[in-house]
Amino acid sequence: MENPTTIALSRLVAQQRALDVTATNLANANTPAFRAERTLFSDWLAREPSLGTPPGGRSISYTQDRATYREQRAGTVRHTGNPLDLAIASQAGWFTVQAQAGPRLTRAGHFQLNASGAVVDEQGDALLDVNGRPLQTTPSDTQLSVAGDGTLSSENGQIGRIGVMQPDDENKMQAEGARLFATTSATTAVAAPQIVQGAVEDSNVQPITELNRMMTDLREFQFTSQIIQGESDRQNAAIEKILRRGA
Amino acid sequence: MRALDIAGTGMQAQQTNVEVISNNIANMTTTGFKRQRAEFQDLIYQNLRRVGSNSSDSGAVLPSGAQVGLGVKAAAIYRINEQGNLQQTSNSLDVAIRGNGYFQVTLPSGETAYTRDGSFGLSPDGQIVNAEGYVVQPGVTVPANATGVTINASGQVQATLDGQTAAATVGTLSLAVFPNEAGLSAQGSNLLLQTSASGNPVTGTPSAPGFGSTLQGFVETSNVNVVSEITDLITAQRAYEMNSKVITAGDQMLSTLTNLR
Repeated sequence: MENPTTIALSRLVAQQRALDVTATNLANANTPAFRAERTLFSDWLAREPSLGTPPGGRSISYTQDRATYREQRAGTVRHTGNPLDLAIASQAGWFTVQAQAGPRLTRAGHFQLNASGAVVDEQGDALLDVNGRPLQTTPSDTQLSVAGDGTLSSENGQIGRIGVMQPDDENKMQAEGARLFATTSATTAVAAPQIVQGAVEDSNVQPITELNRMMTDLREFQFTSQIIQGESDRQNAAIEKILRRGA
Repeated sequence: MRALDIAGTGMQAQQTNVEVISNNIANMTTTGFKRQRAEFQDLIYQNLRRVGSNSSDSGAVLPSGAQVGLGVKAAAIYRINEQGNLQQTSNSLDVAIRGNGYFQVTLPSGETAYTRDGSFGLSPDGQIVNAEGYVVQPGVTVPANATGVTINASGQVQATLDGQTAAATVGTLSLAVFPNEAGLSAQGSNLLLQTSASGNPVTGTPSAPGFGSTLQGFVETSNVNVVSEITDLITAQRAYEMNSKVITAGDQMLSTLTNLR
């Protein structure tokens, strides 16, 4: 009796979360190297053996938002003019920074020097080189240049090579906010990362796609709620008819 | 209904962005001004289903979890220290820095402030001061009977005295460089102050290795690029509008719910 309503309700809950995901994408449309998230719906079969399904009938399937995944397409590279803004032009590869909780991956390559001359990100976490050590400059290094393979050098010679790593499974990366990702899978160094100096990677959010999704989210929500309304009307009508017959 | 809050953080972030852009445009003709850029970060995530957790007791692992982000925040507003254009003024006390470094001026409090605005003048007792009247370090006094002042590329101030043919060196301007220029804190009036993020200044004479050279009769214009500021402004405004559409969508969802019964 209650099944149509609860099935529709499972869709409403999932649809509401889908709008949350779209809202996050749009809110981060200007966040460097942000990756758009997508919701993955799947069915969830409710088997109720005590009730049994009618012969030839089907068991009830609820909907659930099974997972979210990130679109891994790289964003466009935008010129900023800051010598330590670094973008990775190739599709593969992530910078590694030494966050408090351990090494974290990021593609938002806005770096600067800290008071002691180390290359750090906005939180002050050190950028790591190919061997997992921080990159350290001296006060006499005034003209920093970064080659396409990640070699950081100044007028006094080579300082080190920025490490660009690729996790074996990008879907196992977990977003931690502040543009950092933690990963449980093993990482390997990228041989030719194509680093562009003086530029950052934009987010890969496509506003048109997101607005489209937002409208679809809304319409499907309204459509599903109509089923609940219709089911409620049907039950009301049924109760009234039964009462009338009884009278 | 997190979508409302998430879109709210998006609108706040874009508002900050527009404020930074409008400050850049307002200062497009300010001497020595360095343009700023707002940087955004995604906020923390809520894990509905943690990635890598087991989906069955036989050891099957979820290939991707369900994470919902909670919005965006402004992470930093940083200065881009690109060299501005050099503009000729023909004023003998206008000095531009070509390359690295800052002039140091002594504030009334005794603190040292740093600036790239080299439009200097003379105080009543002949000292070289900036537009606010603060003494430019290390303190150079031009004699009252000087007929001309020359400042060369290494910061030497030479005065031609009345009745003499050879110019006499009366002092040398010095420059300061920092490990992290972006860490200096802006004080207004084109002045910057040292912070723990900028590191300690290293002073030296202009044209020395690692220091810029001085150029008399020029000032450094701001490095604001109006075209890119306007396109950034358009992007920011559209992003603001799109976030407001999400709020409308969330509102309509809620109103659908309230109209159910």
